[in-house]
Amino acid sequence: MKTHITSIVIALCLVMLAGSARADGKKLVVVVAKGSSLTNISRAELKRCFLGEAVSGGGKTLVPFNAAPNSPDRAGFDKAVLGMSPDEVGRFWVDRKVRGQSGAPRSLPSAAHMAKVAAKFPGAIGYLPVDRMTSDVQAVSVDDVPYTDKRYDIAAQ
Amino acid sequence: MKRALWILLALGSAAEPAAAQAADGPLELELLASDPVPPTQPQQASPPPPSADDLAKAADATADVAAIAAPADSAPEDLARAADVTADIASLPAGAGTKPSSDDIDLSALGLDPASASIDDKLNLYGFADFGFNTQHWSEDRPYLDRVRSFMFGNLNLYMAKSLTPKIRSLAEVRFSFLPNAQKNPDGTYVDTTVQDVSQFGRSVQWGGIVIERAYLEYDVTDHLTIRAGHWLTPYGIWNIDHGSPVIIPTTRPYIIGEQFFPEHQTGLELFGSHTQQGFKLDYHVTVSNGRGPSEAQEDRDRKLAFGGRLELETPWGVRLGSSYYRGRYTGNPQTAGAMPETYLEAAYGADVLFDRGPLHIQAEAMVRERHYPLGFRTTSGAGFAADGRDLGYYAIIGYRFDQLWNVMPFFYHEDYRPSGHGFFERVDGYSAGLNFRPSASTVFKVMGSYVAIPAGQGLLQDLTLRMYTAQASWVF
Repeated sequence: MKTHITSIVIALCLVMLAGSARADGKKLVVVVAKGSSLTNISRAELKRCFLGEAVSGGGKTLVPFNAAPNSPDRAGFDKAVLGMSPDEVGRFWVDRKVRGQSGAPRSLPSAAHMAKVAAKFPGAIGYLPVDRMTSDVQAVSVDDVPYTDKRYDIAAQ
Repeated sequence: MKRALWILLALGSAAEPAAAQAADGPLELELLASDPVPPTQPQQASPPPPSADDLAKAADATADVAAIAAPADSAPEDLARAADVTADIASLPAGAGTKPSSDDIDLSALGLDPASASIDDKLNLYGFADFGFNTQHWSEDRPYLDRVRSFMFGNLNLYMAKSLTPKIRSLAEVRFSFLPNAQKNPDGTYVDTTVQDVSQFGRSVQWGGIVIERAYLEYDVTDHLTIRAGHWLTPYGIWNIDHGSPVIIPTTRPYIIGEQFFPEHQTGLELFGSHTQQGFKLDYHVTVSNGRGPSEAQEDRDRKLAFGGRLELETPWGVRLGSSYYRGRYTGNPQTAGAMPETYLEAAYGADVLFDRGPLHIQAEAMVRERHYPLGFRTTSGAGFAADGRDLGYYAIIGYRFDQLWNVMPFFYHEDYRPSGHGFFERVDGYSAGLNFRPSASTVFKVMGSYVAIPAGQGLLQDLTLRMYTAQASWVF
């Protein structure tokens, strides 16, 4: 009987572990055009860039591009980098508009668009799920942590 | 029992591939990042049979590509079209779908043609409005006190914003108003703007006015310096920049803001920028303008420029500290032809603090305004010569935004205003509490109760208290 209970507990743990792994979002890689001299950016600068402030990198003023609103990529990036929930992000940008300040970065409808824009548009910076990376974009480390590192915590939700 | 164990193990093994896939992601990408060969090549050599997952991905990507004909911001239409295309492709037999790559995407269709260094040069029209109800109850009846219980349309502000070049922008904000209709004149009569409507014979219409809140051109000299030229909101404190009713937490303005210790608007040049280092951000503003005056947007009556500035330090811990200064000369209109107009030197200075961390919001501003009449220019009033004066006051707001009940934020708000030479009172002490609901980013509902005490002293309203209840709906469109 004791063996059975132990087996059930182990099995339950396995199921829960598998479930939690499935719930984890895919890592989002900060990307710029291949060949850019920008290989690392601080999280603070990344945040400022995606909050509408002028930030330079790789010799150019960075032009941020967001994933589509309400997408898992967008929610994950906003939470990890901006520290805001989707509701908070919405309020933030509406308030800025009323103050007469700049609007939100342009949203792109898909990862394919993001890959293309990051590769081709001058100064573009965006983010892609790991499995949507293409050969003409390059990953940018955040606070010197590459996306391959276990400590990298920008992921889709 | 054994059967239950096997079922659980089977469930665990079914979930395992997903976990393995998540773990494999980075390894797969490591190859992609280091290998210049496009990752699709091995697949081209021996294409695997399309799975249901491949078809779904292909459908998503095709839908995305189909959506790019219109600007990316037109999300509802895009989503509808994407859904249609997805449905069409999902109905195709296996093998019929093709997985588009980013090479299929035309950036010029998104207005992002790299060759033309394009900018978002669309004219953006948006604005905000508010409508409310308020009641006022004085502690005693006095003949000159108005009792108020009415609905009120407050603001209808329209913004027109456009980028002219990558470094030059324009913004204009116009407030449409029913004013000056129903304004009370000093003699107790009211302004009536009712006129005959020539387009409808024998019918009347009331005309209103417009207020040009701001209209300016901005030029980015560098990442750290921008020049703004035109008519702009004075960069001081927190409230005057927040400015619009959807952004402001309470329903009414504090006295120190409403009394304009600093001019609300100025006409001239504003140089501003920011510098960030190690998580600290320093914002700076320098202003030169016509100063305050009865027609400051068109002319400087006294030909004396006004100067001002603001420094603001933003810390990584959510605290923002600011200080502002303004110095200028006010010159009014002469009361009669040939008479000497009122003129005085004024200086205003203030400090503000904002703490925004998660749901907690605290903001406070304290200000002083000094007024000094030059020798020989002191005006006279019923009580004799006008005196130099110093007005001071502060307010503080604390609120906490919950993520339920329409994102309700209960708030408490205190203010203290001590003017000099004011005809109605020497001091105002106000306490307010209310709720600010924000069911969506663009919609705000507020209810607030206020208790205002005017201590005994000098002035028509001395030794009175006022209870005020207000409700407001404001929205951004």
